[in-house]
Amino acid sequence: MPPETLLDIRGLKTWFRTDDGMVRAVDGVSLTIARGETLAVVGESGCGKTVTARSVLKLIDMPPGRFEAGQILWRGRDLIPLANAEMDQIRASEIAMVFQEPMTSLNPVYTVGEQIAESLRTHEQQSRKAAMDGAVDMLRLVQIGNAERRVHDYPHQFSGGQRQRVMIALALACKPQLLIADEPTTALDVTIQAQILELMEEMKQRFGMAIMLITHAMGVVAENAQRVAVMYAGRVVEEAPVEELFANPRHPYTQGLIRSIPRVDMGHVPGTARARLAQIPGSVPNLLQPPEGCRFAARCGLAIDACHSTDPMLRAISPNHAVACIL
Amino acid sequence: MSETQPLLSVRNLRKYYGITGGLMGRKVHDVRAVDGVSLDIHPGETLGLVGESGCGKSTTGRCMMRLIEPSAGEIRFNGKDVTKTEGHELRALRRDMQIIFQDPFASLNPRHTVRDIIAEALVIHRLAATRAEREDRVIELLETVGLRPDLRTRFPHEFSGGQRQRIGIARALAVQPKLIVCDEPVSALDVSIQAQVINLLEDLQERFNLTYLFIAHDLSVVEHISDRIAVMYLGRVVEIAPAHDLYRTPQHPYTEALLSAVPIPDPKLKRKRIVLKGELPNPIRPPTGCHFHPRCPIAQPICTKEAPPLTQTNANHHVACHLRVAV
Repeated sequence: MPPETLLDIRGLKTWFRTDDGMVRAVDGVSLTIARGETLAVVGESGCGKTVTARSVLKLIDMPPGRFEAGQILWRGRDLIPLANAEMDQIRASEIAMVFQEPMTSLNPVYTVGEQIAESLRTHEQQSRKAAMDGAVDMLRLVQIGNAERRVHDYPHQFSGGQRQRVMIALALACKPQLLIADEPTTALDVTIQAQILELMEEMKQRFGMAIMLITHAMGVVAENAQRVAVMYAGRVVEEAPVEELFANPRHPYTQGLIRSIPRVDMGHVPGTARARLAQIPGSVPNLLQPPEGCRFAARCGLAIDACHSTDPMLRAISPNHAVACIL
Repeated sequence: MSETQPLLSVRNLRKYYGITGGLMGRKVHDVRAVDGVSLDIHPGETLGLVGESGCGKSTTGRCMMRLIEPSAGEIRFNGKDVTKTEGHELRALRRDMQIIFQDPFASLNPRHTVRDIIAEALVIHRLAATRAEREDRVIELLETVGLRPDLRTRFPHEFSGGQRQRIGIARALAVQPKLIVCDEPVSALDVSIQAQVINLLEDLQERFNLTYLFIAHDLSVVEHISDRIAVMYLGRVVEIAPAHDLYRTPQHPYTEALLSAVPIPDPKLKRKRIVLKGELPNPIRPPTGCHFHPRCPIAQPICTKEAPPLTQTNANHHVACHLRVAV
């Protein structure tokens, strides 16, 4: 039996009303995450990956945002109609989130211990003493040295990498089944990034949780995900297991993305001509008036007339590989 | 390459920032941002300068142009001592050395049109006699960097990140420099746009015979564009080598760890990763001896006592490590 589907997003549309009109940030996204798997959602700025992630936890300001259509099924139950009080039960104890910039998501006027303990007391009804002990355990788990003492420190007393560890400790305190990590290592140096990604993998093994990893870095995707969804201009354009996606990318955008990254293991040999990077011409479309047909058509080298008029549906080309391209 | 006269030669460059404190505001400590850097940059080459946040790579680049006054050391550009140049002569020198910044928004005046931004350099250096000549030159420069000349009456906020970086490049090119310091020029850009800008920089180098100092934390990008690479750690250069050699045969343990931490976009590749323990030490009280020894997997007693000098190990490869040189 395949593992249970935890999260099943169906045809989600999250739009934002602005002075200039409706911005279709997420415009018909469907995704699933099974228990214990890591799904990477990859794409460039403005493709809707963060809005998709925040929609799951309903962390979208409404207004200006609104759910225009779709369902977010969490273990079979649609989250969209849920009241805030019910969502609070799910946030942190079932689905937790780690953000890109830990300094802005930790409260600067409380010690990190108080913040972790608060989560344990609210969601697990632990006593003050037990929650504080729990906070120390969590800090130890994410390998903050001298945890008994540091639990009384404020966020500003930690370095960037340590703050991200604290964020992970906070997110994992109530043992969620799904961790949404939104660009968790983008603000960090590579050696610290390696530490954090390793920590997340360890935590995943330990708690058997699923991870939704939002990132723009294909290298991070390749090394950390089992399945990948590539987003472009508010839609998923391709979805496949990670090996399949890199070996056999089918959407022209995915192909362009993979080819445009310089690789440290493929540097040019002295005396030979330097290989040029593949580039995707132009830039992302305006989501106020998304173009008709395929949203990538204007930048696509393979586009034919039909691409500018026909909206490509995400369709399966093999049992676990889906692509939204009519070609 | 070593037989040619270097275009820029830096010896024992130091930049200390004093920290004042106490009742009398005396200097109590120094932050050693750059702590004895020596480098040569040869005409027509790209020297990559990599390292993590706070290693002093940007400060080094800025000291070379005297955008920051170095505390000590010698900088020679075309044989002329940059540190002793003043006024008129310094201005002439700056015509030969230009800089492109990371954040193309913060480095372009928001109240000036693109035309004003580019023309300002022409005016300051008296490179265009008449208004018409200036206009022609602005148009030519915009075409060179791949922007439509009719956009010259627009303001920076009307452009995307990639386009703004092109404006910054056009401004640098306006004075026909010999050397361009590129300080994280693509770090703020999406991957598909990153490739466009890297390709543009390579084309311009060939066309105008430019020399680049390319500062970045992204090793894959640096490896792609550079002929030689210098790796910095906590204010010092720990290794310099041709790009190809550095990746294939890194000699400094820090370089090894740094390279192994870079995620590679290939899920089939399983590498042994050296995850460094701990974080960058405080540059106010840097570790004694080799700055890297507290995190170094192979450190020996000598490493805590003596700072290893940068020593040539084979053709063009220099490393600052007691253990790797002695063998």
